[in-house]
Parts: sequence; structure tokens; C-alpha cells
Amino acid sequence: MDFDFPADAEAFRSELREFLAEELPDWWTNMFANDERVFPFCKSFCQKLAQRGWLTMAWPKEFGGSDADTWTQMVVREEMMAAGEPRGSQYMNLNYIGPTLMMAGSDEQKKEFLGPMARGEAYWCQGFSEPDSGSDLASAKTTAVDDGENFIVNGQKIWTSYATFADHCLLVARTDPDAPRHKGLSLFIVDMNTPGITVRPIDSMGGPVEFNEVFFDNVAVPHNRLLGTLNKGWQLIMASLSLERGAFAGHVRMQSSLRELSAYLSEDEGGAFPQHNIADRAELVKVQTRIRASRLLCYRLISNQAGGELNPIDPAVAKIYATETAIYASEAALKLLGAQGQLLAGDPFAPLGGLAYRNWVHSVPMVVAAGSNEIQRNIIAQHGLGLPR
Amino acid sequence: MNLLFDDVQKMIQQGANRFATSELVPERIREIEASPDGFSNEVWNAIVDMGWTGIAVPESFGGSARGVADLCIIAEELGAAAAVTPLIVSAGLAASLLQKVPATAVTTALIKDIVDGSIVTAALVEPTGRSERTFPAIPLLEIDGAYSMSGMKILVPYAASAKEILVNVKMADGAMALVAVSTAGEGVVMSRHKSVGGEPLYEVRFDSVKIPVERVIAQGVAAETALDAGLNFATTLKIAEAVGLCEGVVRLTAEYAKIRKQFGTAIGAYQAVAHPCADMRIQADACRLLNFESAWLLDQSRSDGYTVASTKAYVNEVAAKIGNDGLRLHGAIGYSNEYDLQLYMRRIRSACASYGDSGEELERAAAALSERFGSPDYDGFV
Repeated sequence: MDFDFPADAEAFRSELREFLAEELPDWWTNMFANDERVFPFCKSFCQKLAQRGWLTMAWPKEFGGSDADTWTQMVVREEMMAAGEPRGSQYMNLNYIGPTLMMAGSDEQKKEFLGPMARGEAYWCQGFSEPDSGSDLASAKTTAVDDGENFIVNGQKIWTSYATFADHCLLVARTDPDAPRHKGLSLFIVDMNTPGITVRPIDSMGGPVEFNEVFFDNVAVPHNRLLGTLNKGWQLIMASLSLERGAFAGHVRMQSSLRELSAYLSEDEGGAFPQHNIADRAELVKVQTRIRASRLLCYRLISNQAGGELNPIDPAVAKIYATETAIYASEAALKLLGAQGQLLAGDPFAPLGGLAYRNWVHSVPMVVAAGSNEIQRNIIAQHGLGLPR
Repeated sequence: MNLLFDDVQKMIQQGANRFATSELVPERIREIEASPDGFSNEVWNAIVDMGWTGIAVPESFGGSARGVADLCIIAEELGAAAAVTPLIVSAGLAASLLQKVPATAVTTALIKDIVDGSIVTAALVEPTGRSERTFPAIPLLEIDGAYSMSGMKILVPYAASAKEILVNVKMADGAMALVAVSTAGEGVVMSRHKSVGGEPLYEVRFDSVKIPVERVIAQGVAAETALDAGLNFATTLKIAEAVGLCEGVVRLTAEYAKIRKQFGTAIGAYQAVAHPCADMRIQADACRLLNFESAWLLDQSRSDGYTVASTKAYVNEVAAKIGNDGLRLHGAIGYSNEYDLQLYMRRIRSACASYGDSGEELERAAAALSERFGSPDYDGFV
């Protein structure tokens, strides 16, 4: 066992931090900020990363990557997450949409779509969830019917992040309505400019830009945009979701917030913590211990991956623990901030510029995203403990 | 960074698992617990023969110099069998403490004895004290250059099977001293407590016990530092045992949920049962990883005890919940003494109370975390 990052990964971390310190503007908080400067900034930031070879360094060389080792990849995820994810939505390309294309795409598809991702020019969204298909993804009703020339897509997707500006959608649609549920689904690459697609933003507690509904009305998708084998989409979807879950490095964001919180709480104390209240100090220890465990569960997954012993329940365990710790940590922060904790960003009295509230509002839906924690618990119970379905 | 066991650790784990599952079956565990000393010579000799008492001891003392992390692997496997042994107090606490005090002929001999299988225990808790970390009140009296002590310590593990007892006492100037007392010496009287956890614990009275000067093995800061090191070591092993106990509960509960049918269905198919089982799995994993990081830091001499204290507080909470949930998910059968769950639940109670209750450990951790956050250089997680 070794609980230190390799020296070269740590050296790269320092380099990356210097780069971030230079590039991040004063107004930057995080990718979900309701600020029109966010999108153009993320775009140019990704291109700068790409120029340095840092955007897709985790990818194989043949697809524009540099085969970076697993811990260097972890450094990138951590530093980006700590900085409020200045790559914007492109983290999805790197973590799972690109790798899904590598797994199942045709040569032509890989050539067409991986290149722009590697250059930091591609925007994607994920068309999985539907109004009646959340956790029960295999019940998806959106259809894709082959008319001889194209697949004609009809249906509705929901909770689709980034759909307002995405160029492409990784879409799940039913291609065989008569087959058993899991055996009639396929994945498609859909050009978001195709006629018949309507995107409607959903205003949410997280702000006006986080989620959307996407309507498909007789949308023609060419044959060569089918990803993988017809009607064999399910396994690919599962692999894709597993990559998505395993790539979450929330612990760094939680830890930096905890550090900011403790500095804030100590300002009027002249010490590091509110010394007068042992319960408050103990609360910070409890939060930090959970953050540490969250980090280690993430690292165990990566260690297993690197050792070629990927345990199928690792991503589920890491995802549940990290997302529930994020809620625990933001709850604790709000509690420790007392009455002022209810003040929002923009109010002059809001502690830490509304950081604790922002963390909370973005943490609560995480237990639902990328496969709800209830579904993850089913995975652990069935595949980890051998309990019956 | 690599959180997987190395090849030697895998071998240690397999060996410990084989021993625990074949030799330490529940009937045997019950027998040992019910015996007058709560101790089995046969089991202990097997443990000594496998070299486990020397795993965290340097080669110069006859050990294999592997470290506390490797001893944690064994402690966890023993915990998973609900087995308690003197390994934690003797090969853990005593051996590590003795390596931190100034080396003398006495301390060197004691460390070698531990490796060879003699049990050295520690008497730290006093009737008025909260825990092993409470400053001692028993005075060490010095008259004309000769030492003697009188007083009582409680909760001393394996006192009746031990050859030596390490005792922390208070010197005339108020400083702490550590003394090594032979259990065979005059004036040492012990009786076994009624206690919950299977580990035999004793009340030990010292009645004008004479302490030769060379048996005062550390004084003042040196004594406090050595004791702190020993306790961090022992706490880490106790946590590993607790993780093993949790694993035992997870195993029993998952097995039972597969075979117990209600309303015509195995109860493990109900999410009201399956999801708490999944939570046990997640939490036991979290505890194990937290503790291995602590152990690794101790082995690297990079620990100030913060991760030990914060992990103990966390594991106390988790282990208690896992035990309680184990019973809830079993139903009434889990409450029966004929069924094995009670072995684990009782030992969990003891593990939570030993080497740091949650409140005390959180206070200790908060002081250390406070220092970390006060330092502009701190940007880590440990």
C-alpha cells in the first residue's frame, strides 16, 4: 500500500495549479454560476488545455491523448473539481462519452467525433432520462424507427444538462418495441441541429441553466450515427454510466470548502477554529473524516482499475459515499454559519459569498444523478452481497 | 498511490483468514470466553508460531519489521471471527511503547519476550479516569532511591495471562512515569471484571509493590511520548478489529437475508432490508480504508495521531450502527445467545469503549485539525 501520489503526478499538480492561478479570472466561481461569461470562458479554457496536451491526456495516443497514468488523470480531475470545473461540460466528453465512443464507435465515428473532443471544441449532452424513465432507464419510450434511409426519432428526454449549447447528444432510444426491455435499446449520436429537436430549459433550484427538456419530433438520424450494435445498447449504457460515476472527484471541492469555512469561522476568534465550542470543532472533524473516506473510496476504485481487478460495486460504493458526504458537509457548513447561512450570493451579508448554500443546492441532486443512490444500493446488495433481486 | 495489498500482505491476509475460519470457529470462541482466564494457550501458541507477535517489531528483536498496517490485516481477520487475543495489547501497545522509551536491558528483553510469546499488558485506566489517555493518579513513591507503588488500575486486558504489566504512574514532581511490573511480584493482586466484550479485563491492585530503579522505563515527556505512540498503535489495531467485527455482522446478515423467507420471499429481496445491508458494506469499506491510511502514516512515522483519533471516533459510530442494524435486520433470532450475532455485537460495544470513546477522540482530533487549518501550508486531507 502507498497513500502518496507518485512524485511526477505531484509535480504535474503544481504545474496545473500555476496554470489555473493564471487562467482563472477574478469573477470565476464555478461552471454552474448564472453568468453569461461562464460558457465562453470554459470554451477558451478547454482549448488552452488542449494546446498543452492536458485536456485528453488520459486518452490513448491514437485518439489524441497521451496515455497518462491513472494517478496523473486523478490529479487533473481533482484540480479541475477544486477549481469549480473550468472545463465546463466538457468533463463529460473526457470521462465517459469519448471512452464510450472508443469502446463502440466505428472508425469513421471515432475519427469524426474524438478529434474535436481532443481539441476542446465539442459539446455533448446525454439523452438518457425520460419523464417516465428515471431509475428505470430500461423502460425508455423514445423510439428510433428505421425508414430505410434514417432512424426516425420521436420522444422526450428530460434533466438533460448542457442541451442548450450541445452540438451532439448521446441518445438512448428504443429500436425494437417487441423485444424484452433491455434488448430493444440502441445508442445514437444525434446532431442537435437536426430539424425536429426542441430544447426547453427547466428553471431549477440550482439556477436557470442546469437542466433542460429535449423534445424529438420526427428527427432523422442517419444510419451511420448508430453507436455500437442495433438493439445491444444496454451493456454500453451500463459501461458508460459506470465510467461516469467512477470519475467523480468531489472530495477536493468539499475539502477546499471546509478549509474556507474554517477560515471564515475563525476570523473573529483570532485562532484557527471557534475555540469556544467543542461541538462545532467536533463537527468539522466529522466532516473532514467523511471527506477523507470519500477520497479513499475513490482511490480504491482507481487502484483496482490500475491493478486490472475492477470490482463492479466500487463505482456504486464511491458514488453513494461521495454524494451523501457532499450533503453532510454542506449541511454542516450551513449549520455552523447559523442564521446568516440562509443569505444567498449577492447579498452583502452572505457568508463566504453564499458558498455553503451553493454547495448544498448542488449536492442534493447528486444523489439522484448518474444512477440514483437507491439503484446503486441495489447494485451493491445484489452484486456485492449476493442478495436476491 | 495504491490502496491494494502488496503480495506479502495478501499472504498475511490469506494465512490469517485460513487460521480464523478453521481454528476460531464460534464454538471455540464461546469456550475461550467462558474459560476462567478468557484465554487459550493453544490459540496463542499458534499465533506466536505464525510470527504475528513480531510483525511490527524490528528484526534486531526477532521480529519481521513489517509494521502496524500488516498487523491490522490480522486484527481484522481475527475480529471477523469474533476472536479476541492479547495481540493488540502485547504485540501492539506494549511492543510499540517499549520501542519508544529509552532502550535498556529491561526494555530490550521485554520486546524480545513479546516476540517469543510472553504477554505484556498495560494498566492505564484508573477508577476515576475516563480512558487509557487520562493522566495517572497512582503515585510512584521514592524513598532513599528505592521506588514503590500502591493503588488500583482497572480494565487491564489479559492480566492473569500476562508476564508483565506496564503501568503509568505519577511521580512526586507531578510528571508521568512508566514502570514495568512483574505479575509474579509480591503485592500484585487481580480479579476479573464482569465485562461485555469477551476480552478478559482485570482490576489490578498494587500493594506496596517494590519497583527496582531499572524498571522505571521512562519519565516525564519521554513517558508521555512513548505512551501516546503505544496508544496510537493500539487504537489503530482496535479499529482494525472493529472493522473485522463489522465484516462479521455484514456476512451473517447477508447470509441470513438470503435464506430467511417472509411473505414467500427471501427478505434480502426487500429493499427495506437490502439497502441497509448495502450501507453496512459501504461503511465497513470506508472504515477499513480510513484505518489503513492511519496505519500507513504510523508506519511512515508521519502521524501525529490526528487520523487515528478521527478514525476511531468515526468507526465507533459506524460499528455501533452496523451491530444494531444487524440485529434489526435479523429479527428476534439475532437477539438469541445461541445465534452468533451477539458475539459480534458485544465485542463491538467493547471495541467502541476501548482506546478512545467518540467524544474524547473527537476532542483530540479537533485540536489537531485546528492546528492544521491554522497553518497556511496545509492543503492535504490527513
